[in-house]
Amino acid sequence: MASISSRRLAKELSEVKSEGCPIGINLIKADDFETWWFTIEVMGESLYKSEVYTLQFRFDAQYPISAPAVTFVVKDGRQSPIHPHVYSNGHICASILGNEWSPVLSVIAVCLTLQSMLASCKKKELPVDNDRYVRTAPDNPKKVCAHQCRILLAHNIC
Amino acid sequence: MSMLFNYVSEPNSNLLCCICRMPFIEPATTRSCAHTFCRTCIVQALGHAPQCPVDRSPLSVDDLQPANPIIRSLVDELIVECIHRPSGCPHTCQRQILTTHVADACPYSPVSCPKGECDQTLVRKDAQSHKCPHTLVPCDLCGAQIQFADLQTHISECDNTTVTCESCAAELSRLDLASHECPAALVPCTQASNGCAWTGPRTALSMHLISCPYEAIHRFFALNDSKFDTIAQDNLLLRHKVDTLQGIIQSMKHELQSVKAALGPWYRPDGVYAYTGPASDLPPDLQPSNASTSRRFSLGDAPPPPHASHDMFAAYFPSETTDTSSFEPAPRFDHASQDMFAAYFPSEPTSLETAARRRTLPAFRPGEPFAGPPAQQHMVAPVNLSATLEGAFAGVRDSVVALATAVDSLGRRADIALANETLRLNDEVMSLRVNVHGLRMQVHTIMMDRNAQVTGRSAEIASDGAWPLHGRLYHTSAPGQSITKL
Repeated sequence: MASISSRRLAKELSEVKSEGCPIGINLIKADDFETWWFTIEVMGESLYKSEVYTLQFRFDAQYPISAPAVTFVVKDGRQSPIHPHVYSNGHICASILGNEWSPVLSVIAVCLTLQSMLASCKKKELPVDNDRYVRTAPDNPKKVCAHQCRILLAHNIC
Repeated sequence: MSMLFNYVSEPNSNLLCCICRMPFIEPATTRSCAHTFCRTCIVQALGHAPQCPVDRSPLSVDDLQPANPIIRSLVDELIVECIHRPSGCPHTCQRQILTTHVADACPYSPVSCPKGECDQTLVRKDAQSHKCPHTLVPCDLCGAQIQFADLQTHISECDNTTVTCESCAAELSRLDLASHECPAALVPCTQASNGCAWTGPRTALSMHLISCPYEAIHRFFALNDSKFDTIAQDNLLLRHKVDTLQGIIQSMKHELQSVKAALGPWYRPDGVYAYTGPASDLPPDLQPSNASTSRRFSLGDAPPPPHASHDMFAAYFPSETTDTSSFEPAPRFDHASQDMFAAYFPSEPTSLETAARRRTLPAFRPGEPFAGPPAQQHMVAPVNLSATLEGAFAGVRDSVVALATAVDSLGRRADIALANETLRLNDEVMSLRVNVHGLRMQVHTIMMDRNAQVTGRSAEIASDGAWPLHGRLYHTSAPGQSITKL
């Protein structure tokens, strides 16, 4: 039900605008209820200190029942962070974006999760199968995320 | 699908569904973890993943129960705006009664045409003033009640619509146009039906009528017309009579054909009959009718040649009469023999005569003096085919009478001959009997003489001759008897 999806997003957007984003997260584009852009920055001491990345949310009509498709933007000079769970094409391997998505989560909650994921990183390195994944990955990360997570689990990385 | 409500004031955050972030609609609470959601939201989420969206504990639809009535009342009593606020409805009410407002009262709710005659959907507040195509509206010109959809068509052909006369350009209503006698209109002459070719404006008609030659004699036309009508009626009557008569002629013609076919060679179309021979012996009561039928065709005492009288009716009887009938008074047997009655009335007199002789001759021996064919046999005349039918019948009758007479005399002669023959035979028998008696007596004498010659042995001879078999049997089979004899 597209109307429920858009009402929910309108509600989230109004909250973001009225209450503001958490520290280190800024809304830079939300022209419609399909694609939103945020900048994300890890505050405090971390490997990614003073590095600003851009997150893209894409919503379908099933939101919030189904998860949004979340990726780092890797075009127009923007880079994805070097992280064991972030592929060089911007795709993110995170359980809450796949199997463990819950309708009670929100856009801001996803941003906070990813912020903490970056903050907790011990070593900046690419995922072990980055080259193979980037060659074959589709545009929408949701279609492969669960499969990739299983691969990463097999490598004891996830 | 539940309505999407707009709440007047910001609802308490405790009443928000954490899936849709709106106040609960039909709230449902999980039994296992006591979380509350909209029923629609949680059912959808469970279809995606069978766990509680909040704490991820396993969950199914069966674990849901209606939320506490207090929660239900709290969300149902939230003040919401009418869903037709974008259209202009300022109404606000409790959420639970908004449905009733929209269905029954909201002036901006869509309703169908109240007259139920068109498919149009309109807003309730406009429904009363709505002019649907079936609404009856009065025509401004004539006041008739016309359906709104037909109004434009009606106005263009309304009787009170102002139209322009084509001839004089006068403005008048359509109703008056029919009775409008335009002076400029082109009209034909009043005598146009009688042949006047004049056509001109109505004003010039009176001038024309003064000089119109047809108008001057219009009384004659009326008189003439009535006469023609009478003649036409008479004509019709006569035509009917002619048709009837033609039908009668046809039937008579058919009857005549059949009569001709029945009469065969005795039919004479010219009425010329040769009363010859036995026909003159007819009883007088038969002759007048025959004569009258013949005179019907003869047209007077001096009859015209047969061909002429025949030609008079040739047009009516064009069929085979000209082929089969001969107008020659002389009889023609070869012609008649080809007719259908030839089998019954053989035309050759010699064949008839020999046939009669063949029938009568075998009763007599050729040499008998009284067995010759009687002279009356020659009187059996052939059937006279040139005579009338009655004449032929009379001839046949005479022949039959002569034949009967001949048969009668023949029978008498036969009787006499038979009696004579019987007497003669009797004499023969008597003489033969006498002869036989004489012979018997001679045989008797011879036998007596032979008996006298063999006297003494007469008994043995008689026994031997009369019973030779017994004697031989006696000698062979009875030796005891021979012994006795010895």
